[in-house]
Amino acid sequence: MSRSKTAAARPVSQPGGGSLKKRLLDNWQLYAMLLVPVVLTIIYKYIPMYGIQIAFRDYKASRGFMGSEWVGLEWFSRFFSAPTFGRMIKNTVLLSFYSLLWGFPIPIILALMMNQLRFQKFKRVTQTVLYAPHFISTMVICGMIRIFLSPSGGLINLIAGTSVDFLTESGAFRTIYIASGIWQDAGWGIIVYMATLSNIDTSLYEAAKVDGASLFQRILHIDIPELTSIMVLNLIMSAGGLMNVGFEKVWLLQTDLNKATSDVIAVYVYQQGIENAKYSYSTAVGLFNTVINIILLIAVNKIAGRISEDTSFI
Amino acid sequence: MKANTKSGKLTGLSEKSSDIILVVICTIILFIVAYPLYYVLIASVSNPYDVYAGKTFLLPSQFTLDGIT
Repeated sequence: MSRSKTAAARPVSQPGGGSLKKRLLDNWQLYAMLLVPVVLTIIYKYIPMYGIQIAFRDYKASRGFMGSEWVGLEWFSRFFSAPTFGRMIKNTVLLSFYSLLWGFPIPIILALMMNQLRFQKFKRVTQTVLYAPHFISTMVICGMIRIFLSPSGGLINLIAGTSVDFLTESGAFRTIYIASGIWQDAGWGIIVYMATLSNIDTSLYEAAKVDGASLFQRILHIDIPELTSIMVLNLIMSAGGLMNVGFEKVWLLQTDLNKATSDVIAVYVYQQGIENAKYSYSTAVGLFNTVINIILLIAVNKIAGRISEDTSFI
Repeated sequence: MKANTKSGKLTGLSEKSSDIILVVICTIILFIVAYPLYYVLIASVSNPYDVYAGKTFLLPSQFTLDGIT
C-alpha cells in the first residue's frame, strides 16, 4: 500500500513537460540504461564505418586507411563493367525475391492450419518437430543437401529413378536453395504467428459459429485480419535482408557448373576481397550492395506504411 | 448443437471431417520435416558404403559406431 502511494506521489515526468535539463535529471536512470546500447552501437557499428573510405581509395596495407591515394569512383565503374555484373545482380535479386515469394506465405498457412488442430498433444509435437531444423547449422544442412541430391544413391534420385547431379544443374540451384530454406526456417517462422493467433478472443469464434460461419470464413474474417499487422512487420524485416542472400549457403552449394544461377554479390565480395586480396574493390562492391538494400528497405517500409499505419518505422 | 449442424451444412464438411483432413495434412508435413532429420541419425550409425549406395532408408544398415567414436 505504502509503495503504491510513494509511486503516485512521485510520478514519472511526462514527455514534453519542463525543460530538457529537468527531464534529463528527472529520468536519469532511464537515460543511463539507454546509454549502454547507444554506446555499443556507436563503438561497434558506426566507428568501424570509417573503413568504408577505402572504397574510394587505392588501399595499400603499408600506407593505411588514411594514407592511401584517392581514386574516386574507379572501383565502382570497374564493378559496373565487370563481365559478370549483370548476372550477379540478376541472381541476387531473383534468389531473394523468390525466397520471399515462397518463404513468406508458407509459415502463415502452416500457422493457420495448426491453429485449427484440436488435439493439443499432436499440435505441440508437430510444432516442436517443425522448428527443430532451425537449430542445425548451415554447414550441416549443405552436407545433408549433398547426400540427398547425390547422383549415386541420393534419395531424390532413387525416388525419381534417375541419376541427375542436381548441384551441377544451374536450373535446379534456386529450387534447392529455396526449398531447403523453407524446410529449415518455416517452422521457426510460425512461432510468432501462433502466438498472435492464441491471443485472439475466443468469443469471436463462438459468435461467428453461432452466426453460421464455416471454418474458412472464420479463418478469412477473424484469423487473417488479426495477423495482418504482424505479417506487414515480418515483410519489412525480410525486405531489410533482401540483397543479403545468405553468403554461407550459396558459397557451400556453389559448383563451377551451376554458377549461371548461383553467382551472387555476397560470394563475389568474398572471392575478390579475401581470396584475391582486392580490399578496395570488394569494399566498393559491398557498399553498392548495401546502398541498394537500404533503398529497397525504405521503399518497402513506405508501401507497408500505406497498408497499415502503425507498423511503419521510418 | 444446432449451430454445429448449421456450420456443417455451409462448408459441406462436418467438424469431424475437417479435423481428419487437417490431421492428415499435418502428418504429411511432419513426415517431410522429420524424415531428413531421422535419415541423418540413421546414416550416422550405418556403414558408409551402404549410405553412398542408397541402401539406408528406414533402419540403420550394418550398425556401427565408427562414425561417432
